[in-house]
Amino acid sequence: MSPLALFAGRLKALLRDGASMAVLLLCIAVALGAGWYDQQKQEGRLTLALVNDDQGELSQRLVDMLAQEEALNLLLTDDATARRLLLQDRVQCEARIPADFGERLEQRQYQDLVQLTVSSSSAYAATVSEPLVNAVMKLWFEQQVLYDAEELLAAEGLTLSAEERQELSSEMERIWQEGSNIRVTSVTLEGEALSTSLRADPALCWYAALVPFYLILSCGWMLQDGYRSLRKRIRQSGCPDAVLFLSQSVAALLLVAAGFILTALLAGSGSSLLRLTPHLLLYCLGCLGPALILCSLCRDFSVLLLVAPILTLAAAALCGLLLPLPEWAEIWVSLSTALPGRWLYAALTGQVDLIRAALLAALWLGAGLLCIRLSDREMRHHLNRGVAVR
Amino acid sequence: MRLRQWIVLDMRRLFRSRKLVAATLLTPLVGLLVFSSVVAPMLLTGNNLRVPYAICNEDKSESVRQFVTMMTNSESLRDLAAAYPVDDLEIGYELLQAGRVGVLVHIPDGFYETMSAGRDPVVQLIAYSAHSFEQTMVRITLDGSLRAVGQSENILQLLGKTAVEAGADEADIAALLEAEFNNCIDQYLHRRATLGAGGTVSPMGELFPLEYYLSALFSLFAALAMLPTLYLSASDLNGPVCRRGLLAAPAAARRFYVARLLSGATLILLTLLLLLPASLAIQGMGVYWGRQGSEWGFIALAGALLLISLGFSALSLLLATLSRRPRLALWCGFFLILVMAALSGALVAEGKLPQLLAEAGRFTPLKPSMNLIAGALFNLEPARYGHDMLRLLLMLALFIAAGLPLVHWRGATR
Repeated sequence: MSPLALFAGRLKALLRDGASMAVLLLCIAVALGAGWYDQQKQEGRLTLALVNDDQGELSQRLVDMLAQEEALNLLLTDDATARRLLLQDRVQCEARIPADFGERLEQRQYQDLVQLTVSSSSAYAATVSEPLVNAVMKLWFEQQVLYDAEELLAAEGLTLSAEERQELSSEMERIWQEGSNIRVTSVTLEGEALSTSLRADPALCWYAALVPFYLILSCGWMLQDGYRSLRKRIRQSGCPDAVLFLSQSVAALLLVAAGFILTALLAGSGSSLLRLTPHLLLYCLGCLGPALILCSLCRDFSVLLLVAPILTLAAAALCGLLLPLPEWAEIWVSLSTALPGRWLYAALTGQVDLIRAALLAALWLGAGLLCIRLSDREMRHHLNRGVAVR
Repeated sequence: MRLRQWIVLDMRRLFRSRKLVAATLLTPLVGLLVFSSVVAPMLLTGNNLRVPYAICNEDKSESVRQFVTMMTNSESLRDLAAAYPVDDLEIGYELLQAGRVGVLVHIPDGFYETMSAGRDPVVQLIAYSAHSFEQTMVRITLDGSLRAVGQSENILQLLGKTAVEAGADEADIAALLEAEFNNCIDQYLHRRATLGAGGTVSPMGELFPLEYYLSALFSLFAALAMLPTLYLSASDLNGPVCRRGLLAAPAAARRFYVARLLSGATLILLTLLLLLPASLAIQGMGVYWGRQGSEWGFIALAGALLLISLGFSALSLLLATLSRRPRLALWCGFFLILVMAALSGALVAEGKLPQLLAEAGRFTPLKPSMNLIAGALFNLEPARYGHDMLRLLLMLALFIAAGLPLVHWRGATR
């Protein structure tokens, strides 16, 4: 039996297997969904939902100041709506002006003047809340300096008349509204950076994160009834074990690569396809190792289906494919260098290290084949013992 | 066969494979390890997605240098972006082009002089269109901060003028303005203290997301753990057990059903066992993120885990009776788990789902399971707990009411 015939047979079987094809299509759909969602977030304006429980003049001024922020979308709403929008990620954070806001500000209290609630998935809460903090600061500063000036005048036996105080307040308001003496302008450069992938494309990341699950399932042929007889026939034809497993796995790799190309094209990352495809193939080869290990350990498809999704997601989380690993997670960052996904993620973010990725893929693949051999030996030992007992 | 014999046989068959038992125990451990060491701390500390930006300050005056240091280390910008100071604009452009930074902040030469002369100095934020979002983020932060500082200085000047006009001593006014300016800078550095944290909204609608993710994780483990039982039951109902007529009599089918329900529930319970020490640890903390733990939490959790296990076991039996091929039954179970997870908010946050789909999620066993685990671990509310237990109990009754007659029927029509 030639490797080509094995490959063709496996490819046909994989294409006919509706359930595993559904898994691959699901990987593509989820990846595209994640990419689309991220794009929506990128294109959407940063929005702050504001709930104003204070009907006083100072809170109204705070609202007016925030409404003038050009780069910020202000949404005045009630608490329930704000919370709903926050849960739907349609606003970045919710700020609540409490009923005693004006009163506390007049007493020049500084802390906890506004309640801020953020969504667990919002990465931009610090940005969106910055104009709010600045506006509150301005109002607080105004009250503080007004109070100190009146204290100073009182110490010298002077007072500001109501008109003077009113005029001073109006003048301060004018200064806040008229803008500053420092202007910040945005300049957008023509063309594209050589590498715009500071952030990895989320669609490709998600596809890479989920696709090991499909690769594990594609090795499920090892758990089928005909597996032993196939091995026997292959061995009799003089074909080495490694050729059998690789020719069977290449079929799955081909489908995964096709899925990757489709995902990249639909997600608008077609231009990076040539650059990334070798990395994806190395990643998949690397993932085949753990897939073979898992299949030779499980020996039962239902156990494989129980274990595979959790291990796939855990590995993806450790590699940074699901969410970038933070700087403080040093142990995981170091440990994840042993995972193929780490090097694909590096390639997706423009930090290519093809040699290490290739080396790791070869190591994992070798470990997978070795594990199958050991598992076979163990199985033969059990069978022989069974025959001897009988 | 008697019920006891069925149970013993089932337990032997299910737990014969040490690999299955190890997988059932170790997989949640791996999931929990990754969750507790990476995901949970990230949830607690906020997202760590910092935008790298280069800052090129061509004005060598001390005051601007100080201001730049203050700004780049300010709380809001520090959380948001990582600054890379560069000596000249050319290096900044090179970093931009190489994609090493998203935005280049340019403070031109003579910035301070322009400001002192009463004219408007300009700070430029340079970026490629691919990084316009990052540009907006830095702009929101920088623009507001720069304006606040500039305007505060204007306010102080206005105040000084008003005090002079009112007849105050000029030396006193100068001292006051200096003190105010220093106070302003000091308070500005700690400006985020003006915000009181309302907390983080979780996709479950609570104020803390950790409980949501933890309960979603374990509910998913429980749901996935029904797959081996489902496969075994489907194999039996389409294999020798049924063909030999062992389930032909209604009493025999009933015994088979009860035995499989119990052994399946035992396997599922294994995946949830880690929750019991977790519960004790949380109880040991006394107060957990502002909420009072309940002394009944452990018992409530034990009861909930038992019911969750029985519920998923009964569901696996119902699914097994519906399919003629074990492998197909397994796949149906797997895809059903995915659908349940999506509808009940374990994969996609409930708030992001259309109302109708979110409502549909309430009729899957996964949703009450999540609620029960979250409630028993973190915030036991008897009324809510009772409601979810009742809901799950009704589902269990429904699965048994549908599954048992189907097992009878499959046994009789072998």
